[in-house]
Amino acid sequence: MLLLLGLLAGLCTLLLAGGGITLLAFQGKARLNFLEVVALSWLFGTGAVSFLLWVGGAVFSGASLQFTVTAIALALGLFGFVRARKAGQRMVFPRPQTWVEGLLAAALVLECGLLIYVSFSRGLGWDGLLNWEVKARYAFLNGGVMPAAYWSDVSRDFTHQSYPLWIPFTELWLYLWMGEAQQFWIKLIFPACYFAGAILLAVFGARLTGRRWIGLLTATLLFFVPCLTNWPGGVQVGYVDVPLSMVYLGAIGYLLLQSDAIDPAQWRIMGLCLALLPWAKREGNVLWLIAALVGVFVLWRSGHSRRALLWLVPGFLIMMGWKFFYTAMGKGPGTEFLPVTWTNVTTNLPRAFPILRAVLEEMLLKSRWSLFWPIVALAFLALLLRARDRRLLILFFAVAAPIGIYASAYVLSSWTSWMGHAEASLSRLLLHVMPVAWLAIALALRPPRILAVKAGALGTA
Amino acid sequence: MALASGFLWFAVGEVAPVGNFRPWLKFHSTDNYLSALIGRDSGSEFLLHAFAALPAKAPIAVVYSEESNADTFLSYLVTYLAWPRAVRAVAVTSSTYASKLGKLDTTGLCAVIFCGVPPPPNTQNRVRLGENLVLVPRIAAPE
Repeated sequence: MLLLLGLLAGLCTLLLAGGGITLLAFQGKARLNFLEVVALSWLFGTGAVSFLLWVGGAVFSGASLQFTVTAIALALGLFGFVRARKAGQRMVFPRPQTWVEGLLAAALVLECGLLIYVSFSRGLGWDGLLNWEVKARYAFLNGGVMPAAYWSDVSRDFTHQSYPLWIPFTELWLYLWMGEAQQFWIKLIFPACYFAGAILLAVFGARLTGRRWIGLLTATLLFFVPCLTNWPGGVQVGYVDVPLSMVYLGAIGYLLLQSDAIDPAQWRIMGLCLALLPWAKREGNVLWLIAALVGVFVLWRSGHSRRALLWLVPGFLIMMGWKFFYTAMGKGPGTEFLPVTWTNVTTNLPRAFPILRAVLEEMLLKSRWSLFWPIVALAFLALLLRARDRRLLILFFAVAAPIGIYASAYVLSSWTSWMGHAEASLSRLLLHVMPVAWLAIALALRPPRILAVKAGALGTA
Repeated sequence: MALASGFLWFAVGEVAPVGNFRPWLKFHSTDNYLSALIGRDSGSEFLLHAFAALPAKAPIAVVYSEESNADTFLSYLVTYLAWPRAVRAVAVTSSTYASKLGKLDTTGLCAVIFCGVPPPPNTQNRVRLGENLVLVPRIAAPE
């Protein structure tokens, strides 16, 4: 019973911290979508608390660390709510307005329940346990701080010490509150990230198309991409790929909503999503770079103040901060990829075509993706024929560029079986862009004669 | 509509396969794996107990077959649970088994654990922790 109370307290502090951050970022918006705020609160709360645990661990440990982070989380929450109240911000729960919306919303809720059940019925996967949870366990056994000995321990190299700590330290936070390293309950984190992403997808789909049912439909269909639940990397195995993909969706989604005009509140939210990307996984650096380039493009086209560029900085600082910390711990660059040199590139270039073929074959695997990628291709084609606008350009770049960069990286794989390297991880990497690709489907579903609703016009959709 | 139907048609059979719902145990995942790999329930706590009986802080060696994913994974699980004890990982193949074990520097080690590979025939004091998992204490056998 105490364990469950601790779990509840841990989850509440995460949501409170995230809620405060979200409300502060949404300053200036009179009406807020309650579900959108909850979704962002989860993502930002886990991001902020895990980051505070890492930074705070340099000074505190044990109960004092937990107390300090809890105090900051509560202060953030309180400050955000007080500011929102003073500013007269109103939270609106988006009730279904037609029977179709009601049906889709009910399906979404049902899917969420099923996903929790599936998640609990499976153990953590190989990486979920040995790349991510292991860090939470070791830190928990050391009073909430990563033991210095861990970084110099070559026998634990298989735990990918270079991977950052968003998810491991979110797990650690729950461990600290539960009072034990409990492998079962931390699995709640992953369906929660999925729900957050599904809500954001519904919100973006509705705002970009002006049709709420389209948003709800894409969010409901998201569940049916098999790879999300039946393959390593999915929600059920506790990897970081799904949370990362949802944060990327947040970053690109808010950028798309501002493709015509910058909205300061949404820009701040985008900046926070962007900051989480490098804190999730090394591949998050690639996604950060792409989203940041899109951000710069949007700013340039809208002629907005260069000060807005400052919101791209936190992600860069986190990326550099982690790199600096990792180097300071005496760790060198990974050995999975060869250094980018002219000789290495030209020697291994013949790998490019087989890798491209492997990517295409992966995308056509019905057992993992059903018809998802062919439908995405058709959606892009339809959008290209219908309206060659800025949104299409942003969306295509946001989907295609990570796939291109990931695929290119395998050219320099140092694995003896470089194709095995590609085949072992391609599905997970495609997961990173899959939720964003749903936005192309949503836009293609929009009736052709309906003009796109300008960003923010359906602020509470 | 046809595309959506096709998408759902191929997806429905693949989506959300439910596993074995196990009670919410502390070692939910590691127990699950150890049950399959060494045939022992509550394997995590059993291994922690075995490690606790070894001299504190003394390193162990983990010998495993790198030709087998299951043995490699088992060695990782052992290393995972052995924390904060230092571990020397010894990956062998059928052709390097004898030479690598022969070269293994056992100075300071309190035990050698064999994951999926048998200890050398002349080894005494073997403690069978489960199928495919044998502990050979260098100083004293765990209780």
